[in-house]
Amino acid sequence: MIGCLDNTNLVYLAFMIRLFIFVCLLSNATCLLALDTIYVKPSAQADIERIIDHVPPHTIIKFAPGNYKIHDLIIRKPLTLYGIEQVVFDGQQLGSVLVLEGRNIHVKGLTIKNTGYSSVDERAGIKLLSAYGCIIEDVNIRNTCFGISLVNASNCVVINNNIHAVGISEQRSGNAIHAWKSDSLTIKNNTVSGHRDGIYFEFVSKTGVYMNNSSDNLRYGIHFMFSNDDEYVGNVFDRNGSGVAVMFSSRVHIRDNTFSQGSGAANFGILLKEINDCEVSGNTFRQNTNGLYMEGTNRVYLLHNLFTENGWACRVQASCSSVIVRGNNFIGNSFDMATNGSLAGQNFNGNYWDTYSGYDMNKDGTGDIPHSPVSMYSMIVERMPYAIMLYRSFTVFLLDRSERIMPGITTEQVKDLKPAMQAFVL
Amino acid sequence: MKLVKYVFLDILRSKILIAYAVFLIAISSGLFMISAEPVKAITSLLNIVLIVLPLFSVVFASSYYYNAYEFTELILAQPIKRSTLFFSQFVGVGAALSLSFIFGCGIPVLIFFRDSSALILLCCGLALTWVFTAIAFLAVVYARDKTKGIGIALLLWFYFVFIYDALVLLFLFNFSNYPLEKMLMMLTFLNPVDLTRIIMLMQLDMAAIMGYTGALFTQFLGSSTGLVWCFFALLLWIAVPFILAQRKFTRKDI
Amino acid sequence: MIDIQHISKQYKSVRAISDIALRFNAGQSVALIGPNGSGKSTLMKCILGLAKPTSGNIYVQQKNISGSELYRTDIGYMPQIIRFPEHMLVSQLFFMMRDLRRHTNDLDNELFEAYHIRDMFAKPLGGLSGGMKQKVNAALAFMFNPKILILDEPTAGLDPLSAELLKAKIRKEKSKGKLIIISSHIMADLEEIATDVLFLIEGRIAFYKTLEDLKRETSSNNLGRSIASYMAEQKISI
Repeated sequence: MIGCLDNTNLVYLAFMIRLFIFVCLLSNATCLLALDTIYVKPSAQADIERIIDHVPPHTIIKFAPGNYKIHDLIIRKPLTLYGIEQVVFDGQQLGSVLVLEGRNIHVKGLTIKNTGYSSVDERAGIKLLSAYGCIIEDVNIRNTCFGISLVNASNCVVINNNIHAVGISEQRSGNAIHAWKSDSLTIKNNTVSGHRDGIYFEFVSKTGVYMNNSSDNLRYGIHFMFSNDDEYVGNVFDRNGSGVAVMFSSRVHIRDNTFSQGSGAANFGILLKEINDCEVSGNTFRQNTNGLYMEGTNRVYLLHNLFTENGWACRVQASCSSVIVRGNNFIGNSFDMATNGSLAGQNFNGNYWDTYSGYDMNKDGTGDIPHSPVSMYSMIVERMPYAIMLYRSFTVFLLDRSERIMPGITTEQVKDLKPAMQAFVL
Repeated sequence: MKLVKYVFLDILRSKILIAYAVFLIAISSGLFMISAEPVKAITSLLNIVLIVLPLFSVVFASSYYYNAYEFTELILAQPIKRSTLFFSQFVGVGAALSLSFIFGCGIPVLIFFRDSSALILLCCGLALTWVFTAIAFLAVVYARDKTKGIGIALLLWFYFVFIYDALVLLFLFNFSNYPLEKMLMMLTFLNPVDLTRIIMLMQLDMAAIMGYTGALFTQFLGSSTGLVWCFFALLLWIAVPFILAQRKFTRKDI
Repeated sequence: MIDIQHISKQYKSVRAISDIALRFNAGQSVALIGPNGSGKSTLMKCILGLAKPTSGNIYVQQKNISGSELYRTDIGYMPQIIRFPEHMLVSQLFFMMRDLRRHTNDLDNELFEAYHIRDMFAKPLGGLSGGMKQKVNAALAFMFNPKILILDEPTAGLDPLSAELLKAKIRKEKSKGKLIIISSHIMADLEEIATDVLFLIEGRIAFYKTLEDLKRETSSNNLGRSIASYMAEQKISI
C-alpha cells in the first residue's frame, strides 16, 4: 500500500501513514489480506460491478489492456483501480464513468472517455461525492462533459492527469476539474484543455493548485469564487476564452504563474474582483488584451510581476483600495496602466516602465522625476473605447507628447515617484 | 509608354532619391539592429512608413512636376496625347519612389524578418507611395505656382497624417454614446494612412487590443477577405486622385 | 496652312487674345512681334495646343486641332531657353523624341551635324551650358522635317556663329515652302529671315503685313525703325 504512494506529495504521505497506523491498530488480519491483487481482463467487463462488491477493502484491482464498457460504476470502499498500459473505460455517452463515494480510493493509469452530455445530471469522467483521501493519478480523460468533479470532497489529490475535450459551446460543456464545497485538495501537474473552465472552484478552501497547464478552454483557465486561503503556484494559463477569474475570495496567493494570449475585450489575463488580502507575485502576463484587471479589491499586493506585450497591462478600477504595485517590469505593453476614475491612495512606486523617459542624475538607480503610467490617450480610450482606432497614429503621438510638455491635462494621481532605470531581474 | 522609361531613368539618377533610399536603409537596418525583437522594429518601421513615406512622396512628386514643367511643354508640342504624358510621368515618379522604398526598406526587412507581416508592411508602403504620388499630382495640376502647389500637397499630407485623426477624435468626443463601429470603419477607409495603419496593426498582433472596440473590426479587417478589400480600397485611393488629376491636366492650359 | 478663326483666350482675369483671325500660308516666314504681354506666346501656345482658346477655332492643314494631337506631327517647336530634365543624357533625349515621333525615315540632320551634337551625347542635359541647350533645342525642332516651324526666341543665347547657322537654316527651309513662325525681340535677325510681320498689341492684331509693304508704307529700310514710326503714326503707346 505504501508502495503506491511514490508520486504523491508529502502532505498526503504523512496523512496516509497516520491513516495506515490507525487502520492497523483498529483492525485484525483482514487488513493485511486487503493488500491482495486481483487482475481483470476486458472479457470480464460485465462482472466488474460484482467483483467490486465482493473484493475486500484495500484490494488492488489491476486491469489488463483493452476496452471496458463502463458507466456509473459506483465505488464505496477503499480500493485501488490500476490500469497498466492501454486501459480504456468507455462510458459510451451513457453517463459518468467512475463515481467515488468513499474514502481512500486510488485511481491510477486509466483512460476514461465518452460520458456524453445530459441536461439532467452533471456527468463526469470521475466524480467524487463526499469523498475523503482519494487520489486520482495519471488518468487520461477524453471527450467528457466534466473531467474530474469533486463535490463535498476533502483531502483529495488530483495529480498528473490529462483532461481534454473538444467543447463546442459553453452551455453543453463542463469543467475539466470541478470542485465545489471542498477543502484541502491538491491539484497538481494536470494538463487540461477544451472544456468550459479548465479549473473551477466554488467554496473550496485551503487548497493548492500547482504547476497545472490550463489552455484553450472556452471560458476561464481558472474560475475561482468564494474560495479562501488557497494558493496557486507555477501554473500556465494560455489562450483561454476569457482568461482567469478570481472573485469574492480572501487570502489568495497567486505566485509564479503565466497568463498569456487572452484575446478579446472581455478577456483578462487575470480578473480580480472583490478580493481581499491577496498577493500576486512573480507572475508573467504576456500578450493579453487585458493583463490584470482589478475591481473592488482590498489590500492586493502586486510584486515582481512581468507585464509584457499586453494591450492593457493593468486596469485598476477606482473601486479598489490599498493596492500596492512594486518591483514589477512593464515592457512593451500598448498601455501600462488604465483606470476609470481616480486612483488616489494607491501606491505605484518602484516599478520599471519601459516608457519612462526621465533621467537619473544622482545615480541611485531610480529616476529623478516621477513617471505617470496613465497616458492621456489611455484616459481617452477608457472613456471612448472607439478611440482605440487611432492607436499608433501621429495624432495620438502628438497628444501624448503635448501632455508631457503641459502636464495637468490628465489625472495627476497615478504616479511612480521612484521609477527604476533598469528592468528588474525576476 | 516608352516615355515611362525615360522619365524613370531620369529620376533614378536624382541625388535626392538616392539619399532617400540610403536614409531608409540606414533607418530600417538600424531599427532591426537596435530592437531586441524584429516585431518591435517592424512596429517602429510602421511609423516611418506612415509618416515619412507619404511626406517624401508628396514633396518629391510635386517638385518633380514643377521642375519638369518646361520639358513637359516641349513634349506636349510633339504629337502625343496629354493623358499619355501625364500617365507616363505618374508611373515614372511612382515607380522610381517605389524602387527606392523597396531598396531602402525591402532589403533590410527581408534580411532581418522574413514574415507575412513584413511582406504586408512592404505592400502597404508601396501602396502609400503611389497614393501620395497621386495626391501630389492632383494638388499640383490645380496650382500653377510652384510654392502654392507644393504647399497644397504638404497640407494634404498633414491633413491625412494629423488633421483627419484629430477630427475623428473630436467626432468621437461628441458622439461617443452612439454605436459607431460601422461609421468608424467607413472613416478608416476614407483615409489611406489610417487604412494602412489598421491593416498593419491587425498584422502585428495588435488585433488583441483592436478587438477591444468590438468584433467587427477584428473580424472584418483581420480576415483575408478584409485584407483584399483594404488593398482594393488603397487601389481606389491611387486611381481616383490620379484620374481626377489627369482629367484636369488634359483640360488645363500649360 | 494655319487658319485662325476668331480665337479669344481669357485667363482668369486677363484677356490674353481678343478675337484674332488670320491665315499663315506655306512659304511664309512670319515675324511675331509685340510688347511683353501682347499675346505672342499665348498665340503660339494656342497653335501648339498647349492652351485652349476660350472661343474660336484653329485649323492646321484644314483640320480643326481641338482634341487632336496628330496634327503636331507636322510642327517643329523650339521653345525659349528651356530646362531639360537634369539627369537625362543628350542621347536619351534624341532617342526619346524619335520614339515619340511617328515617322523617322526622312530625318533632317543638318543642324544636328553643324552643331556637333553627337559629341555631347554622353553628357547629361543638366550639365550643358545655355548655348549648348539652345543648340540641342534647335536641332530637335528641325530634325523631323516638319512642315511648320514655330520658333520662340531662337537666337537667344546662341553664339554669333551658331546663330548665323540657324538663320541660314531657317531661310533654307522657308525656300522649301515651309511655314515658319518666329517670335523674337531682335529686329535685325527678323529682318534677315522674315517675309511677313504680325504685330500684336494687347491681344489684338495691330497689323499683319508683308515686310516689304511695311517698309514701303513707313518709307524706312530698317524693320525696327519702321515699327517705331508706325507706332508713332497710329499713336500707339506701349
